[in-house]
Amino acid sequence: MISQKALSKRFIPGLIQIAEAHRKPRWLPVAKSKVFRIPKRPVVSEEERLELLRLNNNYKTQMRAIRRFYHDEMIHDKSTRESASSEMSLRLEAEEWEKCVELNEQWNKQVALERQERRKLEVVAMDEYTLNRMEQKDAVRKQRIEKASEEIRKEKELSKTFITPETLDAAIDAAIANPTDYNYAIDLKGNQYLGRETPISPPKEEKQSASV
Amino acid sequence: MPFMKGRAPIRRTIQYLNAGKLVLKDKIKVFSVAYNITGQNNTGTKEFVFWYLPQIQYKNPNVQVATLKNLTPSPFIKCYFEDGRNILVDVDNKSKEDILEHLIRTVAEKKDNPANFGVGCERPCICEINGQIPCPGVVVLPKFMRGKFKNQES
Repeated sequence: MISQKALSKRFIPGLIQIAEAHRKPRWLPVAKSKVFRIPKRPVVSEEERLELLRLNNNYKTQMRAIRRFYHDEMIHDKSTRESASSEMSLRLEAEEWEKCVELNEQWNKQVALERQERRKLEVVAMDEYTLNRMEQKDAVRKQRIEKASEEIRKEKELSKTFITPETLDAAIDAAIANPTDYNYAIDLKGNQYLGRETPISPPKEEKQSASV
Repeated sequence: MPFMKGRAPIRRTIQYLNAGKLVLKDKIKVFSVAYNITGQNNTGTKEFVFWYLPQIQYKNPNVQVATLKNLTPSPFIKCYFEDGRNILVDVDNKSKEDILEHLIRTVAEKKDNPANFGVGCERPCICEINGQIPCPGVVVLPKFMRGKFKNQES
């Protein structure tokens, strides 16, 4: 037969010292010697039973009354507190809202001021930029006009020599009187002989040098 | 979105999202930011949207956070309350830190004193702070504090 201590040691290793009365573990069945033992029913006399019932009823009634009293009181307290706190919280919230809105308005005003100043600066910068550009464009245009007028002046000067119907005859006469021949010939030494029908008369020095 | 991809992926880490400071009031239902993507006066708002909007949305899951791009002459933030009120914050030419600070001052839920302790506070007992005396129920007080030893002679 395995002893109780040995059993507990086996099932709960590590736990060595157990200071308690020798007892049957819960998982063991009823002892053989006690299997057929029938415990004796407690005998309560009728008087005692009635008396206990009365006392118990009294106790329960009183306890119920007390419990109900405290419960009601708690609910009452809670409702009053809630109403007060809700009013309070509403007021607090409204105050907070006011404060927040005020803070925000201040901030917005500040931002608006800064923006106005910034916008002013931006407008000034933009003006400067556009003026600069306009000036540049004006200068370019002026230059172009000057160039064009210069060209016109030149053309006008040239136009004096233009051939017009009036001066056509004179021009023709002049052209006939002074025929121009652009033909020319070149000899081996690079001498240019203008004219198609120019008589070629080689320079004398050349001849001399050749003969020498 | 894959992990650690895209621009500034730190914005998607749980630590970053949790570090958001702006917890809006309960009554705020819509939080809208209007800004342009160009212009020097919009950069602060643009950065605010880029860096802080994820945190705001994470910290306020029941608030609609909307952005309106290129629909306004100057940037602003508008908060709509559940009872129809709204609060307009002009954020023209402000840095993202300034904007966040102002929002925390105006539309954020008021926080309790973080030093408070007890029921309903961040910590139930002061003994959770380093350097404070542990609760005597957990660790016995030093002898010079205990009446049993202090009043022994008298």
